[in-house]
Amino acid sequence: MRKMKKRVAVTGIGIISPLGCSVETFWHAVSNGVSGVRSISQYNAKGLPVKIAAEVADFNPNGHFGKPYEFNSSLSMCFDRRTNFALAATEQALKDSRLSMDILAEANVYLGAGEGPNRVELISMLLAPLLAEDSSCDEARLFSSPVAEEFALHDLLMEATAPASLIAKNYGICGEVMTSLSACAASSQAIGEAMRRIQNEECQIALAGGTHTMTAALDVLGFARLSALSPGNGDPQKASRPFDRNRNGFVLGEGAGMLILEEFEHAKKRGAQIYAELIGYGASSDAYRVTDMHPEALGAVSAIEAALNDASIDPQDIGYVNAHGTSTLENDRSETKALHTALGKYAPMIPVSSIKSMTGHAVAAAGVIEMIASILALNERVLPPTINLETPDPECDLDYVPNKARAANFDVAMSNSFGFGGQNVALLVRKGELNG
Amino acid sequence: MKKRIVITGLGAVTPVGNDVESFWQSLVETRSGVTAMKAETTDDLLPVYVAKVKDFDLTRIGLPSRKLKMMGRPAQLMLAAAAEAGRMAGLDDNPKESLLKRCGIVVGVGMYNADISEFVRTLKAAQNAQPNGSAQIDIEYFSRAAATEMFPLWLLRHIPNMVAAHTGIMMKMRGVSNTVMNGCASAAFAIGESMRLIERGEADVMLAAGVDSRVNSMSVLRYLKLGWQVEGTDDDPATVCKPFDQTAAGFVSGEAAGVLVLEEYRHAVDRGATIFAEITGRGAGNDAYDVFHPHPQGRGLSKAISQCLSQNERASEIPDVIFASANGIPEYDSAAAQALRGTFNTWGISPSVTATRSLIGHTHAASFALDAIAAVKSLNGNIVPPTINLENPIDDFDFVLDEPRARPVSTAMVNGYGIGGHAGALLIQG
Repeated sequence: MRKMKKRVAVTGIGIISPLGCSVETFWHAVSNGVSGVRSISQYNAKGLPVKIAAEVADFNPNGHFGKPYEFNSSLSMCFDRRTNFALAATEQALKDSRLSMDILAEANVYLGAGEGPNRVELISMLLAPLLAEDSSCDEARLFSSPVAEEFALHDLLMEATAPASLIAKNYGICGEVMTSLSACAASSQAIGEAMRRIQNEECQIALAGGTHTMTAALDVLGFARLSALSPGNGDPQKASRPFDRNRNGFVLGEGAGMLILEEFEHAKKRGAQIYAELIGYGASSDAYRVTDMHPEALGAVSAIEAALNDASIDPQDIGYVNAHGTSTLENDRSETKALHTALGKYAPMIPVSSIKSMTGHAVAAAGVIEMIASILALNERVLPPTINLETPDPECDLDYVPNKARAANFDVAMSNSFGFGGQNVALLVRKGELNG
Repeated sequence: MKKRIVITGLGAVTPVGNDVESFWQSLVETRSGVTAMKAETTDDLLPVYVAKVKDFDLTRIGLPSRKLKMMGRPAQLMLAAAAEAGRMAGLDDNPKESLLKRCGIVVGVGMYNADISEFVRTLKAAQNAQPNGSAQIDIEYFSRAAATEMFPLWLLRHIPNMVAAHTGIMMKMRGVSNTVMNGCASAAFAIGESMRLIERGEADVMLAAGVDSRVNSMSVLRYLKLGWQVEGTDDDPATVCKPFDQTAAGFVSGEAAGVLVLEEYRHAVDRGATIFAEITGRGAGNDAYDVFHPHPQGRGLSKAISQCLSQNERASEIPDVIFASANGIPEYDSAAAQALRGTFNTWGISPSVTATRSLIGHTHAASFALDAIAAVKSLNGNIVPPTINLENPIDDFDFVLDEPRARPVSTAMVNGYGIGGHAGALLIQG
């Protein structure tokens, strides 16, 4: 006989986003159609082909997040933005959950992340000795560069594993600590895999989320050269316009989100607030092209179908879809096609919105930020809008909740994440019983 | 009934051989993969040793050069290893659509540092364009120069999940794809994730892999300056990496790809696949300690090992041999030895111990996959590959020293442990 799967509750939320560094400020902005996209302010972006991004504006790493990491007696350095975002979101989520800290030793951590931002000024100082005309024996010059030690530690702290490892250290988590790097799907995949661990009784508590910053110069350059970004000429706040006919690429963003996932009975027994219940997870890959989605969105369709099947629900049970909706010509068209195929005749009746119109694309952190928006939408009974949807695209013919939030009482939301490279994840979440 | 998971294919591209057979032959014939980073040396610099993949023939992948150009070295190594594993598992001969939909990929990866030549070119162009010719590079000029000097698809070589994406496309596999990074134990976690997908019924066949390439000057600089890589020396390259030795002075940074085809037992039997071994236990843990220094008692590894052993349903079969995680960094080797000592005492066992990194070098995210492959070969051939350069061991385990040892091997355990405090353990039976 098949064992009953355990149920998975969401009992804590933390968020650091371009729209605010608390659940309240984030929700206020996202439900009021506020854009977080601005001219890049972290560094001089004048020489870049794209000069806009959705930066986290009001984040101050304080207390232990601000303290430099001491690798040894002579070498220390502060953690980068992405790591600090993750730590801050984790702290918020754990406080919110009111879990006692001693229970965390057996918890699991599953984080979607990317590598930390490169520091161009440090690279140029490191390589300065090699710029002389006669640069024979490169390694000898390189290894004796005056900033070689500093670069070495910077390069180590950039590792994608740093945020998750540091969370484990800070809270004494000796259970499994994982980092997933499936690009734009990473944090959704992390949430899905963490959910499975609780369902299958590998752990009772899991910290699941993501963190990323891809607003540094080399990231903006890299994506701009792939022609993936909106050039954002004119008003930056109008640049991210998912499903609009005049969309022309995505806007890079940054941030972190953390969810405390808990075995349902465990949460109930301790009287925890249950925001929502994770009920479905489906994943697939396109195996098509590294830079393009499958034109018929086959991978996306199988991920959505797998999630529905996993949750044992039908398309008409879905009350809201939080789209991947990047604002590229291709994604928004293919995603619309995928929703038509997977949801059939119910697709036109189910509202779909993309908060990337406001948050930009936080890449590895996008999935969790959008899952948080979906959970808040369930609880607040309000659908966040797709802003900048001014000119309809005949190929994008669903109800995208254009420009203004909408009141809606519904039970189940779906959040889609389709990663660059062809990984597709769909998650289904149901309103929490105790909040009901 | 829990699903049984078997290994039906292997693939490897390593510093000691570019396919599974030559990799294994080098191990049992005690051939080191360590060589000088640069062919010629000068007075300025003693030779720095690395463990590179040699004579890697890109045509083996059978892709046009415009496709290869957008791949980083890790993706190229991975594709060759995946192709070998696919052939060995019989997945290359026109597999059915229904099978491909249930084939997934999880790759454990590392960080792939940029080649400095591209940066140097960009920085030179920026410097020339700057009005005052200042040595200090202005980011505005750097950005403008990069737009013309850097390879347009440069980012694609460095995005970590591209390794899995390219592999999925080549193998036409449309099941779940994931990319994980857990320091030196990355491949252990890739195997764990793959096993779970099969156990949960979400896949029938998984490519579980580890790949990393850390032999270019930026990567080597990192490890030299952190004191983890053996310093430049003119000693014989084969002698410098000394895992578990009291005089160990660091690892030799390397590159490799290792792939295991994991498959649900019934599925493998039904399609007539050759079964090389079965995975009967796995464990994972974290030090929850300083992120870039190990817990002195190897807390994370201890936890991984005990979880792995207690999960083993054929508990009577204790490991005959341990493929240890030691790589030559004294603090990590010592922590790993403490964890093993504790395990041996608790379970009352004294298995043979070997550290293949003495021969292979440290292939980081790939290292656990290579040891898992070596463990399978060891089970199949009843021979344990040796540890070299171990004259003054830090513990008195039953090390397999200098020469391969013929002995019955019915159970092997593989350990992974390293930065981030991540640890993994796997039990493989013949």
